[in-house]
Amino acid sequence: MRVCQFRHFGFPHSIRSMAEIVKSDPEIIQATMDQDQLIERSLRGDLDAFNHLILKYQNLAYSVAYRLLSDTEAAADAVQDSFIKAYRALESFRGGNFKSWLMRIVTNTCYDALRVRKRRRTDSLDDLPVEEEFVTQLIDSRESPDQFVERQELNGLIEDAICSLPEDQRTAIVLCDVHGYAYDEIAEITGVAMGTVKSRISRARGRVRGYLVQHSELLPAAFRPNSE
Amino acid sequence: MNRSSYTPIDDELLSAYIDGLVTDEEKARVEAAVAADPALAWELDTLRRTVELVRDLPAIPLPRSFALREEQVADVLARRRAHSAAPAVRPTRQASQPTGARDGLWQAMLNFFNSGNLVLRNAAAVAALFLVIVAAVAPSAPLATQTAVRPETEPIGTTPEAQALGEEPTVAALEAAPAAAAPQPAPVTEAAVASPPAPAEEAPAAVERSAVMRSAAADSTAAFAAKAPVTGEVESSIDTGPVSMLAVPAVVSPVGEAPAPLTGLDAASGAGEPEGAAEPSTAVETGAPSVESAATAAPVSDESATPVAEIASAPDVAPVQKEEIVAAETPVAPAPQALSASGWSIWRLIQAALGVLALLLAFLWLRSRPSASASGRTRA
Repeated sequence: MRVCQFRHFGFPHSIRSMAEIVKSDPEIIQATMDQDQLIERSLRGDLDAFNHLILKYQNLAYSVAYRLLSDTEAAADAVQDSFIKAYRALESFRGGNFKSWLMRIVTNTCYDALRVRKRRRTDSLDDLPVEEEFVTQLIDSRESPDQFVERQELNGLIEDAICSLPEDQRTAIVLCDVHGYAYDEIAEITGVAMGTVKSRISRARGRVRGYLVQHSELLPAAFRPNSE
Repeated sequence: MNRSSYTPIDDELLSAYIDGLVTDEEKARVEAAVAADPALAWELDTLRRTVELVRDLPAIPLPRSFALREEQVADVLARRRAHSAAPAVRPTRQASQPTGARDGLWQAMLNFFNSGNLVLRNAAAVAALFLVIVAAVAPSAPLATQTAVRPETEPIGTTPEAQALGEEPTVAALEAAPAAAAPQPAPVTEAAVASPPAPAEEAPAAVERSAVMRSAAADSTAAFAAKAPVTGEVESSIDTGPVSMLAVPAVVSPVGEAPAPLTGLDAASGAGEPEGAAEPSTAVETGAPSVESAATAAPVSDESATPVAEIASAPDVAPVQKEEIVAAETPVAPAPQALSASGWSIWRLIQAALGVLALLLAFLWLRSRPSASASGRTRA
């Protein structure tokens, strides 16, 4: 699997550019209408219709859950629970952005799992390694082996930096920078004000940058402080 | 590494700048600061690179499919299938059609009101509710023809200020009541020429006081009958400042509203004041020459012209009212809670503001509702 493939999987480089694409893309408009039909059929007892929605959003849901929980099994359990909750609470969806509504359920389920984990104190978030079985699948044939290894290490460093963040900042930076959500969508998902979202994102980015600067040997030259 | 002294530029502003969510002013400020400070430029550059690195993180592949199985949601599935199958079980039931139509209409209404930005919807509803409450509790328009009643506890004329201003509006209001009761075209030229001997700056204060007192006159007509502005002061005030005294109440007394206070005054004074009828004319007559004599002393507003003429044309009220003022010894009851014209206009402004706010919020809510052609921003 190529890394470049994931770049077309909904991880825009610019929030603005994605918004422009959405507004003008008739396919997205059609997809929204189909989504409403799927929801309506799901409400009438058509489980296959709801599973179509799951297939559409499960990658996103799992990616967010994994980066929040930093554990494969915990993320899988959280995603499965989230979809069950979403199906049961489908009557409460009053229109609007279904993806944001679903992601709010996913993040809340992940928060619940984190609280349970903290109470049990079975694992330390900082000690969880990045599972290489996923990383090794992301092979870009244009990269040399050395470049591949460097990229793997850099990605691992970034993942560790994200894992070291508090829950709220981690959620904000994952939704914003990893998955390209806009500030207002993040506010809707997390249930906080826009100003709070901006603050969390800026603090998360600052902390990730600080974490990376501390391990600047893996980073490009631009990350090294001028004083060094 | 030390940040530059450009303290207003913080990480939050830099972060918003990277996302393109800053105003033009903020953008210019950031760019100027970055150009002037290499350390700040490094912070911005590293922050931007951090964002790019995070965005370039690969997606996490799925370990398995998360599609639901029937046994996971059996209860909900059964309920929904039963509910959706109910009409099909009894297709011949004619009554279900109108019920279904009603349910469909009700559901459509629910969907309509529950779609879009619910915060905007609720805010519009709250604004409309406040508008209704304000409209319900707002006082009615101030009654301009109500006789002005002295709100102060001290008797009229006991203080120099009262002599100068207090009695004038009161007596003038009394005299203006019958004048307003018989509205007639005013010889504006004469009245316009007739100017108060009192200083011009007293007129605005007198206008305001008379307006306040007039608005309270309806509730205190009975008390007014027993209360006594001093005759002498009234006369002297009439003599000294007839135009301002007479003109002031007329400024706020629109034609046609006089009968009420006039009636009240008559009722209050009718029982024991049979002789009072002669006095108003006397007072008016007394005042008229003063008015005319003071015509050239000071400029008079156009508003005072009509009242002077109206007062002159209705000479049979002033004496009665004057006697009542004289007879009154106890302080008049304090003015009721009715508002003056300015206060009433404030209520109207509040109502207008709430109405605009409710409409604006409702408009924004309606715009936030998803339409059939597009529903917000979705990503592939």
